[in-house]
Amino acid sequence: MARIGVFVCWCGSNIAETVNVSKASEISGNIPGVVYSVDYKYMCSDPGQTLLKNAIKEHNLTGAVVASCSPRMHEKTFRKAAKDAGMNPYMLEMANIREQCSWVHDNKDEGTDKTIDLIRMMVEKVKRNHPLEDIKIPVTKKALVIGGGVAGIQAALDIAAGGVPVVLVERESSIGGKMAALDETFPTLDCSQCILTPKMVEVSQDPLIEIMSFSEIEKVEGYVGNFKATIRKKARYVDTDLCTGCGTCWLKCPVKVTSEFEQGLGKRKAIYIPFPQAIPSRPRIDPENCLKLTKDRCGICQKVCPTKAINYDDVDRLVEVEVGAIVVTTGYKIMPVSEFPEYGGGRYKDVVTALQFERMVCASGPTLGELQRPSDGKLPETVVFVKCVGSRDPEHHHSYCSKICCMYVAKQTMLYRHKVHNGNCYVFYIDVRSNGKNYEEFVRRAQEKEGAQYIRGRVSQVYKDGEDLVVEGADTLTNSQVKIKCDLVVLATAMEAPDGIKELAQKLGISYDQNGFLTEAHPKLKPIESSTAGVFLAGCALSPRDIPDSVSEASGAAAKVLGLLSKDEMHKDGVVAFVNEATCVACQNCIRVCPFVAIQLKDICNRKGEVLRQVADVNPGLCVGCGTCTPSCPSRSIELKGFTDAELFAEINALAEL
Amino acid sequence: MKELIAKAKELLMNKEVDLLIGYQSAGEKKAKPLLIKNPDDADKLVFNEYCLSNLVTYLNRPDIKALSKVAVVAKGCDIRAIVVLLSENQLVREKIFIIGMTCDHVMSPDGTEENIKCSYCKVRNPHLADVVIGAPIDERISKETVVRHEDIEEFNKKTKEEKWNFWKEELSQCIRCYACRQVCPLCYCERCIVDFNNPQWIDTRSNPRGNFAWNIVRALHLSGRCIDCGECERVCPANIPLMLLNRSLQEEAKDKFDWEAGFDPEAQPPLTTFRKEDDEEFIR
Amino acid sequence: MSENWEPKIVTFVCNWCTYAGADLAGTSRFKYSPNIRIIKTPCSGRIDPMFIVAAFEKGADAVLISGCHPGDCHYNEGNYNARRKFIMMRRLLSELGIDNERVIFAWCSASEGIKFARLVNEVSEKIKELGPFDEYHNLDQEER
Ligand SMILES: Cc1cc2nc3c(=O)[nH]c(=O)nc-3n(C[C@H](O)[C@H](O)[C@H](O)COP(=O)(O)OP(=O)(O)OC[C@H]3O[C@@H](n4cnc5c(N)ncnc54)[C@H](O)[C@@H]3O)c2cc1C
Ligand code: SF4
Ligand code: SF4
Ligand code: SF4
Ligand code: SF4
Ligand code: SF4
Repeated sequence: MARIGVFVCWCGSNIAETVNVSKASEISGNIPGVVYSVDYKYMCSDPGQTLLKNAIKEHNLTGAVVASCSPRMHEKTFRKAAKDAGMNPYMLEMANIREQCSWVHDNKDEGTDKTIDLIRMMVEKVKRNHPLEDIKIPVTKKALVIGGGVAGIQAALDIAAGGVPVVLVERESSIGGKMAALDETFPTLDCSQCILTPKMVEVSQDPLIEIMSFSEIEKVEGYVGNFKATIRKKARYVDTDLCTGCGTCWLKCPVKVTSEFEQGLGKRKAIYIPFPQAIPSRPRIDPENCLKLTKDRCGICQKVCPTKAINYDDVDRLVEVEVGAIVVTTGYKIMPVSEFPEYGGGRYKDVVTALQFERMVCASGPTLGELQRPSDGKLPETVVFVKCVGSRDPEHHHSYCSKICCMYVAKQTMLYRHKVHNGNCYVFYIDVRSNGKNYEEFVRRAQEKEGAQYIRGRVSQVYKDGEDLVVEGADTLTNSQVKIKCDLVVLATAMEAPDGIKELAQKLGISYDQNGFLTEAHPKLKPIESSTAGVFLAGCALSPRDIPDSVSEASGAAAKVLGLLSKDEMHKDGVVAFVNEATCVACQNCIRVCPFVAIQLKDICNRKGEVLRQVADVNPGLCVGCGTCTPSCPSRSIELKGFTDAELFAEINALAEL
Repeated sequence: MKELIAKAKELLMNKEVDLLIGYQSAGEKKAKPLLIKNPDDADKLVFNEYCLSNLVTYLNRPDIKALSKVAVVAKGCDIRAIVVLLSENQLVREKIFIIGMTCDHVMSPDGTEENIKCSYCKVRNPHLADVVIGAPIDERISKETVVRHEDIEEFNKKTKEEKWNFWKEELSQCIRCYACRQVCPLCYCERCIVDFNNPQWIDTRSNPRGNFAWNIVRALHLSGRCIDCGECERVCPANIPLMLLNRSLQEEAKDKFDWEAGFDPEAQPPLTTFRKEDDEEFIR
Repeated sequence: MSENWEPKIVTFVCNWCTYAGADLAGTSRFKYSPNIRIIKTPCSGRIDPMFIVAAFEKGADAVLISGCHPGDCHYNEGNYNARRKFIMMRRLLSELGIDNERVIFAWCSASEGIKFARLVNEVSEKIKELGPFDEYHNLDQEER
């Protein structure tokens, strides 16, 4: 038999002014099942809570209704008090008679009547409530970071700093990402490698971080706190444990091929590290160009290697790691110039991407920082930068803004002028977006002090006139056509989602937008969480952004991971869905609607292990208690604890007595 | 017919299937279901314009599900039920052999005229069948045609009050025999919502209030799924025009979600998915 | 209709937007008609269309259902799923001759306290105009 207590709060005069609280308490006392009712000045005060606790004990209450303010305000308070008094906290409900009654109505009779109704509804619900237990999920105290750009590096370092081991998976042979290829960085013009490589070294030396480079995610199973990831370590042909990174092999290797890291502007060997500061500083053999692997000739690297680290028979290996949380920091790629033939892209060597320009001016670049144009090595005396190439162009390419081009173009004009003091540089732009700390000042400096000439308008075409390139475009400020003869054209091409991102997202069960960038769980309130619990996002994997943003998100994601893994068990409230296996017919409706992929089919087997039938199965670790599944089930075989059909019906049915 | 009998014999003889479900004659202008295991019984099989019932319903029976493979004689419209059942994980494709019959039309339940559902049938030549029997038939309307049901258009000329009174009259006749549920190939629940008593969603007495609730919930549960076989209305002893409700929800699914049930087993049923740009004019 | 008849409006809301919006109406002291009784669910996706029928059976004169605006759902998609169910339910009810004005759907965010108060007042006014939903309530009394 239910023994319910009703506690009507005055909230000083907040409630008592519009509601006859003593009458409400008196009438509530007559509701069947109610064995105790009282009104009190401030239920949330210490004496009020003590009143509640004592009543629970003295009257052996099985449930309680506190009629006071919004449960958003004090549900936790009262449920905790109930728990302290030995009652299951979910057996206490609140009737919101302040926000929903005394504050919105003037007439005391009406207010009192409504209060009694609201109490009656909650009493009927409490009668049907079941005690619920919080869900406890054991967690694996280890994290996986996918993508070793600056964001991934930062996330790994911060997680390790919190004492949690990290596996950092990078698909290239070195970590570092795009930042490793940049020259100097806006808005401070400090050298990218000087600030990045110490971090890379730190990663390699941190005993809690395991770098798996030249590796990719094969499969991810499990759920928050308990993921199992299978990682494919791609054949490298070099035993990274034996190799010391001495470099003899790549010095001796006779094959020269175009370097991806140098954006096609330099050469590398068939056995190589992408750049001198690579981490891990272990080479890999490029099987498509290695003479041994393609034609069974050469074999020099094996001969010269002092530690016998070269293994031509190497194969891909799969390793499994168990982790409690995952951070995805897979970054971006930029559109190649060949997508823009109208700007001479792919047709003229001297039309380059901004990333190529970074390598052309970088002291560690293929020309060691000597600015030479690709076609003939001439020092470019006039350079034209074109912004928004492929961005903000919904008709042809992407509708989004790549966000950072405005800034790096301003930077590159400065880098150029620092190399060629009397060179001319022009920038075609639509707008200048410089909304970051010291960014506007930085752009102004480029324009006003460093002599970059900004022309507002789109470029219509780029063509060749003898040795020179000619850029033709509109100047919409003076309303005139302009033609600029130049030596080099730099296209600030759009940043795009990297290859393979959709496949990765599918493996992780997270979503991506129409452009392939990963989607955050909530654009405002959960900007670094994915829709899957335990999977966090940071950096350009979300959308184009600069280094400071990428790094701060990475630290944010690390904080989330550390928070999640700080306890041995995760506790969640007990409001989760559950399935009546006797009646479920495995129609999959609930599975299809669950926004959190929390339901799966499971087999019901007989003793011999033969599958008799299937039923839906809720993973309480993933279920967030939205209840979207319940109305989708025709036979009501899935219900939501704390909001069962019987409980909600009780509230509706209570209306019949109104 | 010969072809059908031969195929049936072959399937049963070679033990390709354990059971074959087809039609047999039930007197003049009538047919009824025939369930056979013995190849010799195949001679009783018939197929004609009186083969109204949707035999797919049998495939839901637990004893039939337990068999390793079952053949079913199915018109295109019946196959639509198979498609829905497949998409709802109720059938295993490999365990059923679909003998698809080409079909120009069947007759109305009273045998006097062409069944109205046939006037807008898009599957005279069955889809998804393992074998198709019968000469190809010209489809009268293309797959893309958006069907407008005349009976609903007519019905919608009524005022609210007229509609209400119409249904009050009709639904008060319901005797809660649940024949409509029993015959529906898509009402396969282990426990129907009417049998749920904590809470009781539907008053089980056959009073108008319970009858309204029952018929509302039945129509809702079939919305986006009903394949327009008309079986529920055919078997209703009270002659309640249930198809008026089913068809209006079919129309709604077509208009709002561009959906017709029973064509693509891979597609997401409309009430288990959404589009961000779904209609919301009605939401304040 | 008796002189002092007041409509009963059963309101189903989601916890995160509309419930909070109603709280804001309260904290802002926006007055509204006392005819509504709110039933809280976690998400509009939890609201079963059959709750509408249950409410009518129990004497409601109208049902108001409100959740987060599209895109704002605390659970990302619950309200989108709900919207499809409501589309079907509306069509079915109107087919049965049940006045769609008695079943009101709204999106109301946590910051729209004023919208909530206005909505309740408008609905309440409208239902006062339409009168009690006796047709449905009396189904009970009618024998076949
Ligand atoms: C020309 C140019 C100049 C720039 N200059 C500046 C500047 O001056 N200042 C500034 O703040 N920002 C600048 N930026 C922006 C800066 O490059 C980015 O903000 C930053 O690199 C983003 O870091 P990230 O870690 O998110 O991505 P990335 O650097 O792209 O790193 C992603 C990493 O993930 C790896 N990866 C991808 N997919 C997978 C996978 N499936 N599995 C495993 N690993 C994977 C990649 O190989 C890569 O190593 C510039 C950008 C460009 C194009
Ligand atoms: S919707 Fe219901 S019957 Fe279908 S799988 Fe889920 S719980 Fe089972
Ligand atoms: S309550 Fe929500 S999260 Fe939980 S299983 Fe149901 S739909 Fe999924
Ligand atoms: S078949 Fe007809 S009478 Fe029987 S339950 Fe269905 S609607 Fe009612
Ligand atoms: S509701 Fe009626 S017409 Fe629709 S599938 Fe079921 S039996 Fe056939
Ligand atoms: S009416 Fe609904 S609950 Fe009942 S059998 Fe049909 S689908 Fe299942």
